[in-house]
Amino acid sequence: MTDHHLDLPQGTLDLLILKALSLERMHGWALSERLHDVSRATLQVPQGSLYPALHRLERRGWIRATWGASENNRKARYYELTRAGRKQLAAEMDDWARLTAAVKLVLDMG
Amino acid sequence: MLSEMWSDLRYRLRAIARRGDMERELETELRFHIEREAEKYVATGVSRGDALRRARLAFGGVERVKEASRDARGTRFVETTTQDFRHALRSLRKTPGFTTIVVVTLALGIGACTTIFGAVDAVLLRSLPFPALDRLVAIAAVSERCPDCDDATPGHYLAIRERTRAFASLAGYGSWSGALEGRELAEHVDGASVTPGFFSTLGVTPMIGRTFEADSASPLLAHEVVLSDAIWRTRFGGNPHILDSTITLSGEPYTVVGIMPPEFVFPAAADLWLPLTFTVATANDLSGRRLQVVGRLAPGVPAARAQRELDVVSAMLAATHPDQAKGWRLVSQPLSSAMLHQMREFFAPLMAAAVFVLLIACANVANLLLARLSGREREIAVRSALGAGRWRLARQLLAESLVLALLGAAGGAMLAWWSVPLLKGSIPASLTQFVPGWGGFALNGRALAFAIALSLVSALVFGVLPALRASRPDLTASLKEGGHGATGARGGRVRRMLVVAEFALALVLLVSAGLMVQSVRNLLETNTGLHAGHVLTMSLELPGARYAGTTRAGNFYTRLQSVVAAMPGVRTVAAVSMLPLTHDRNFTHFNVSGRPPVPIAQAPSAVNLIVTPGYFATLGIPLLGGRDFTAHDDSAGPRVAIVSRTMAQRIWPAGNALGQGLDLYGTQYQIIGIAADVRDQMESPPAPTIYQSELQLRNRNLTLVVRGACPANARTCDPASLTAPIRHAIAAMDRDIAVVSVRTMPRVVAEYATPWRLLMGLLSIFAGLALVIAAVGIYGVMMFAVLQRTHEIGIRVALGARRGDVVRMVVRQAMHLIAWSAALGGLGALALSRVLSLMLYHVSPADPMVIGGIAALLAMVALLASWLPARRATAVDPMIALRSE
Repeated sequence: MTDHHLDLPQGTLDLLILKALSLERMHGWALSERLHDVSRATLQVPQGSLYPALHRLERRGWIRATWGASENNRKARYYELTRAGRKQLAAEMDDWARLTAAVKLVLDMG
Repeated sequence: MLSEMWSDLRYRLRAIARRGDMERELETELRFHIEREAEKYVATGVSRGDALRRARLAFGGVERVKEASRDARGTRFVETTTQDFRHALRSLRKTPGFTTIVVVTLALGIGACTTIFGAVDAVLLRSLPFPALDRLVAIAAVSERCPDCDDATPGHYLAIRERTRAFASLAGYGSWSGALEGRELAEHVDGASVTPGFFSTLGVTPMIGRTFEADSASPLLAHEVVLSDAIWRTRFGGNPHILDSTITLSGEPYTVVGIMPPEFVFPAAADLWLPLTFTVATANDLSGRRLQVVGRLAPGVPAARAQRELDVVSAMLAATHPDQAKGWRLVSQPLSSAMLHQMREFFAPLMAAAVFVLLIACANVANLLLARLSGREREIAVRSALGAGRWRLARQLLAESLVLALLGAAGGAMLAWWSVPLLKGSIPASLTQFVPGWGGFALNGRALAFAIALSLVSALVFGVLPALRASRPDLTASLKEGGHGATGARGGRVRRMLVVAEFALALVLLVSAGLMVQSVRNLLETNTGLHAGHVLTMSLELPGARYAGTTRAGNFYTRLQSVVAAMPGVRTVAAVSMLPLTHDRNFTHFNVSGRPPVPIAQAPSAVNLIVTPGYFATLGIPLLGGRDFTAHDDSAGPRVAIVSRTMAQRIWPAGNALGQGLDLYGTQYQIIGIAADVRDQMESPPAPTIYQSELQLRNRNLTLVVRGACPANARTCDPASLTAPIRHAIAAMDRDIAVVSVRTMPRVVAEYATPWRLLMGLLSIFAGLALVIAAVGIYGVMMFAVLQRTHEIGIRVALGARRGDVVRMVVRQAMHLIAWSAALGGLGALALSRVLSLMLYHVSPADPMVIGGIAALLAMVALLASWLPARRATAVDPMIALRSE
């Protein structure tokens, strides 16, 4: 792989999924496309690894899954954020901001 | 947080309950993704086949994603466990022989433990269902001469009540028995007379009605009765309207005021409780006995402080009443140990033996599992090479063990279902009154829960070794060697150790059983001093109200005896106050006339029996000197007594007992006869005994003894055939007289020995089981060893070894194991028989005959069990053996 891909730091996949779903309800493939496009293909998210993460978030009650018709009129599983999920997203974004700020401070020293 | 947990739980439950649906949904979802991705490529002009391949590539391994998604559901554990159990059932079904042996072995062990646990639970754990049982103490007055005395007197009770502060409440009770009169013939009932605080001290409340009001001192109280649940149901049909109605007990009317709940039966076998009140005379009594005292310690008061206060009371009583109380000391001990310590002595060896059987069974099952494992080494190595995790492999084996254990528990429960009623029925009614809680002995939920818990523990015990072994397979070795070898040396050692343990445990059990057998044989051969054959006994209870005066009761017995004596088939008839060999004894203190009197605590005591003329002849007790009582030894004549040989020798070693005088509580008796000794407690030497004449000391409740006359040519002659005519005669004279128990004398003797016999029987059964299981174990190990050494034996035979050499080699290996077992088991047996020694009679716990005999027996069994595999070894054809590689 010549172009420079980044592996996701541990635990940030959940944050990305929650953020993406907070904008609109979508199915797994669309989500994977969205992450790929928005990060300008920088973030390396193996498509398959989305699903265990989605199921885990569903189990925790942060997202909700429903079956619906896809854009090409096929049966697809759509995910959306729940109220608990919104709260979780806010908390995680907050944590992320503080973490990056702190890391930046350290990197900027000297 | 809470909502998150709830959502989590809901999700997981759905995942378990609707596993199939979720699998299908996952499948659909992933397929949609891949197809959608492929469409994207198709749109750029790629062929459909290529597009799908690229889509899959981008997606990553579908199976891995599915696996990870299942993991994310959080039900992985449940799913694989279900799978493990399915696998276990399948693989056990494939080897029915192995499964049957294991399940039967475990069922025997678990069944034995469950049965004994049921009894222990009823007798030791649940027989005293009182709140804060550890705060209840039993108080008894003991002396140097009677360190095991378990009772006190009304005087003690009242003194403790007045002068101690360590007890929140205190109660006294004594046994009571009488006749319950009704429309039919009067019926004997056992009960207790209790001080009003009895129920509140124990902390129990009635199911219906009330008990005796604690502060009630009214004379009305004396005519109230509280019934047990059992008698309420059997005699009064469970009718709640019985409250406030009147029943007649031994001729006196009593008002029923309450009914106790079914679990309350205290003291053992009590069917009703009557109030106990003290007269001024009894309140000052410090020497008559038979009042049990129970106290509840006040909150925060340690038992030691209560004892210190009791010591002060003892000292005070000794100072104020030196004649009666000097030398006696009040001691308290926890109620549970006071009530149950004998039961513990009986049940401890039984429980230990049952646990031993289970341990042996476990060792054997572990052994069989290991053998089975080495047969499956290749299967396991292959699966492990294909990526099955160690933990997963171990878990599968543990699942197998668990399935086996649960099947064993089911079998054990079935066994217990059959054996519990058998054991319960084996204790005669004459003994159950001494066994608290025996009525509650049943295969109940608690016993079943115990069986299941036991099976889970056993699964751990026997399943862990094989699971550990399987979790670190030596892949290359087992794949290369083609199935035997890797665990061979190591596994062989573990298995041999298991066999040594099995045999050692079996030896311990066999020795205990052997000691008990020897002991019971000695006991039964003991000459009781009675000629019990052809004698029928019948205890009577006369209604107190109408037979209050001594003469009335006496007249009744005199009349009854003359009626019975005239019956055909009766040789002699007599009556006695307490039948020998009934666990019940009455003692009297005595002083010797002409010698300086001693205080009661130091005065010698003797068993005291009141008998009618003809008693000695009827029970076949020889008179060694002097004469029997006659009809002239009545209230008009001078007081006379007969003493036993032991008594005569002990008090008058010079041999001049006849004609001497005895002082019994101030009355002078002249000794007119000396009777041969009777062992009225088979296990102890004959006690000194004083017989008094019933005609001089009339007694309301006596036991009739009747010797039947057997025609010389009669083949069978059962004294029990006299029962009906005698009962008719009694009913004709007074239908309110209750016949307490009717037993032939041989049965009295047999029932006395029941606890020993029972212990012997159960230990023998357990030991037999242990021996069989251990024999199967050594057979299995030797067989396996021979199979493993087929190659080696083939070489030996090819090099010219003879049959005898091969057999010797195999048998020697077995004997080596037995030698180890004998050494270890011998030590264990010595330790266990110390526990047993309380139940042993005239047998040393280290009886060399027993231990040597048992060791020889074990060696024989081991020889046989190893001889079969040895024979098989000699049949090895060297060509085949060498090719078997």
